[in-house]
Amino acid sequence: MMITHATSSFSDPVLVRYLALGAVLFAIGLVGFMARRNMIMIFLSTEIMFQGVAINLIAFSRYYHNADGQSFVIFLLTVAAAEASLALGLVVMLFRHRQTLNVDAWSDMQG
Amino acid sequence: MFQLIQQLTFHHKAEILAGLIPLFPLAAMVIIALFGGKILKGRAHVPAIIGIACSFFLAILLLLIFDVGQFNGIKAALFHVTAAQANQIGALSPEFLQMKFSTWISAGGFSIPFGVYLDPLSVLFVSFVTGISLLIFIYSSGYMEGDYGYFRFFAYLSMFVTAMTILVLANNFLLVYLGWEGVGLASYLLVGYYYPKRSARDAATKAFIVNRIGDTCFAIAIFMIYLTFHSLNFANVFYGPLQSASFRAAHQSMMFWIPLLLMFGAFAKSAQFPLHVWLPDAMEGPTPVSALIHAATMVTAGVYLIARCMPIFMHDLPVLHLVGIIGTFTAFMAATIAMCQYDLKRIWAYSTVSQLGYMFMGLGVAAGSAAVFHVFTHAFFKALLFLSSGSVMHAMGGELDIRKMSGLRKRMPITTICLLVGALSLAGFPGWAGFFSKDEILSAAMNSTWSGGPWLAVIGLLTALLTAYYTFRAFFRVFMGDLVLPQTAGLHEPSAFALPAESDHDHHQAHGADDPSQHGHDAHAGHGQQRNTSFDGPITMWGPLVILAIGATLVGWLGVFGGHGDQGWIQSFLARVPMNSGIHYVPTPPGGLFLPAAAADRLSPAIGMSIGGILAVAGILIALYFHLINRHAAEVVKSALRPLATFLENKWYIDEIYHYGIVKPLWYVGRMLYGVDHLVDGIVVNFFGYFPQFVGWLLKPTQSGRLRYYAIGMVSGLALVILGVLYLLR
Repeated sequence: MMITHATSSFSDPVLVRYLALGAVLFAIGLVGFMARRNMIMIFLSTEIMFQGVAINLIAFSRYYHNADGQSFVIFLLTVAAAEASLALGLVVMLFRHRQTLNVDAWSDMQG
Repeated sequence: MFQLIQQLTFHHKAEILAGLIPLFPLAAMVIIALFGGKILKGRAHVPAIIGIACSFFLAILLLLIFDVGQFNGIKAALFHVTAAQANQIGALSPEFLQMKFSTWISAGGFSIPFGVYLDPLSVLFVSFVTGISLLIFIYSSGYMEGDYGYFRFFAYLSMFVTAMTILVLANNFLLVYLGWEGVGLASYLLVGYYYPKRSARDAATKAFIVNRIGDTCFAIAIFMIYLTFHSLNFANVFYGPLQSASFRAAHQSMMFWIPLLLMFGAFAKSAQFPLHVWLPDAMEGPTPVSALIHAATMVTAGVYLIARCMPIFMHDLPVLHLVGIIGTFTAFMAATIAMCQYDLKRIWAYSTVSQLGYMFMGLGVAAGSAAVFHVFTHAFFKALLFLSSGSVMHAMGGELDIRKMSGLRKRMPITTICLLVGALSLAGFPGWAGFFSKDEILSAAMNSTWSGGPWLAVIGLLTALLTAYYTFRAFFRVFMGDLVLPQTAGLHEPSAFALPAESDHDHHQAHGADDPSQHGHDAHAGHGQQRNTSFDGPITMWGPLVILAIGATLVGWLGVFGGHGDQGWIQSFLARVPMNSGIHYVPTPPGGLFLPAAAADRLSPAIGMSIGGILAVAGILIALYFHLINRHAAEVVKSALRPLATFLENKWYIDEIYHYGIVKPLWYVGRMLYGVDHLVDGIVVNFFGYFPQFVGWLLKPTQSGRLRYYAIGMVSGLALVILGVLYLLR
């Protein structure tokens, strides 16, 4: 049933609204990631992209009556929390080196 | 039987002694090279002199063993035998002795030994080479005192003599070649001894390159000899199949090319006409080196080679005659050049070229003994002339221009007498060494069965006149007349190793001539001479001069007395070497090697000698008039003959011809090839280098280090992939 309805799932207007919300969140995060220079804002943008993906997972989970997606999201949030602490620690370290949060200050790290 | 054993033992001993001769200078060289810089320093001459003295002693023993019976008393005392046995040692000597000590190269059937070949020729050469070298070494210890690289100088000198003794004692062509290259290398190092001087470096390079031309010819000749005779051993080559007419007919072209190439090899080493240009420049080295090159080592090697290979030359007379013609031409040309040179050493350098020409003239008319005799006497008087000039140079602070000095006899009495003896010998003044040997060559040419011989003799006589003139021109200018000293007199030759900006040095240049208390370098201060006393130098310098002067006076008489019958000692001594045909000698031809000696219409040697003597005296008198009595007349004559004098002053423009005829064209060919190389290298090869560089330049902006550009790249790449997948799945 899940597979047979797969092609027709985008015709469900409720699901599409949730998917649209997830896509909008992901796009906002992506644009923020690409446009901002402040390291904290860039980091927040990645969090927003995360949430977009999480909403997609939950929406499909509800649509297919399958708990896998929701359990993924719980793991995802845990990992995101750990990652946030790590990333903020890195940001603090980088700030201490250059006294700025501008990510372009580190552009000489090119490979 | 007992006598036979005794005799064999002697020959065996002789061979072992001969094998030791090169080892002493070699050991000296190694010792000086290893310990010279740190331990020996100013005593570096001691091992060199001891080494060469040991070699000289052994060489004299060999000479006595091969002696034809004139020194039986000495031999008897020295070898503890009776006089009769002593007589037999020489009289019963075989034509040659040879002994193999060890194998040098062995590959399949090809084997080259370290071995000695002893016959009167090699023994005579090795004895005068070591003897003259010994005197030059002693002189050098005074002349070079305090010079930078003193030990280096003696290491090179020892190497030079090592190579030369190997050359003359070797029993095969390849070992000769080893010595041949060794003297080439040593001369390069010694001519370029003052390497901070550009002219010294250039002269060294020139000597090396010109010699290389001859060396290449010699090497090819060695290959051909091996191909023809399947051996490089002298005995196998000269006394083997060469004797058979059918063999020679089968190898007719080889019988032409081998002597021709050997001739060019000898001409490069002995500075004959097309390849003589290196020798006059080689005087850029210290004066004792010039003496060594001109008298004992190096230039005599070419004469030795042709004398040694005479059995081959005898079978190709056109080449032998070519040797004589070129030799005669060189003798004349160098004599004319020497007439118009102003540098004392350069005059002697051209006189060497000229005298070597005489030697080749002698070889060309198959008078090997006369040629070798001239080598022998020349070694004495040329070493004497160069070393005396070295004393002049030493006293005059490096100045040798004969226009800037005059009347030195008042300051350098010993040097003057020694140089006078050398000059008399070179000029062929009756009674002195050059007179006997040169006139012997001229008589041989006059009496040659070859129709060209007398013509060579006529040119040779004319050259003898010129020789006497230019020799005494230099002597009268420098030593006679009113005392004129150059500004630098009393100073030492400025060392080439001194820094150019040395203020101390400039000071000496400016005030030295007025201030007798000041001598050149501090290093030289130990043996300074007072301006108003003798300039003759220390005894280590004038001692060898005196010995050489006595030698130059006496050795000529070896060509008159002391031999069998009416021969001189030297003719009897050398008669056993197969290199003669001509007036004095009735050789024992192994297989009809020799030209028939013309019995009839011989010119008496006495007449030849008187003509030579008269010409020598005439030349001296001309020089006396123009360069002592009326020096102004010389200027008048010179300006009257301006074009000729310019031509001669510029040495027949031969250096210029080579420069514009060979060096420059080669340079242009080199430029052209460089262009081709540039094309291939620059366009084809470099393309493969530049292409990745270009791609890198294209891709470089993507690595800006700006995070958001990377993000944009990732996103757009991802978008492209997704669009691509959607397009494919549509």
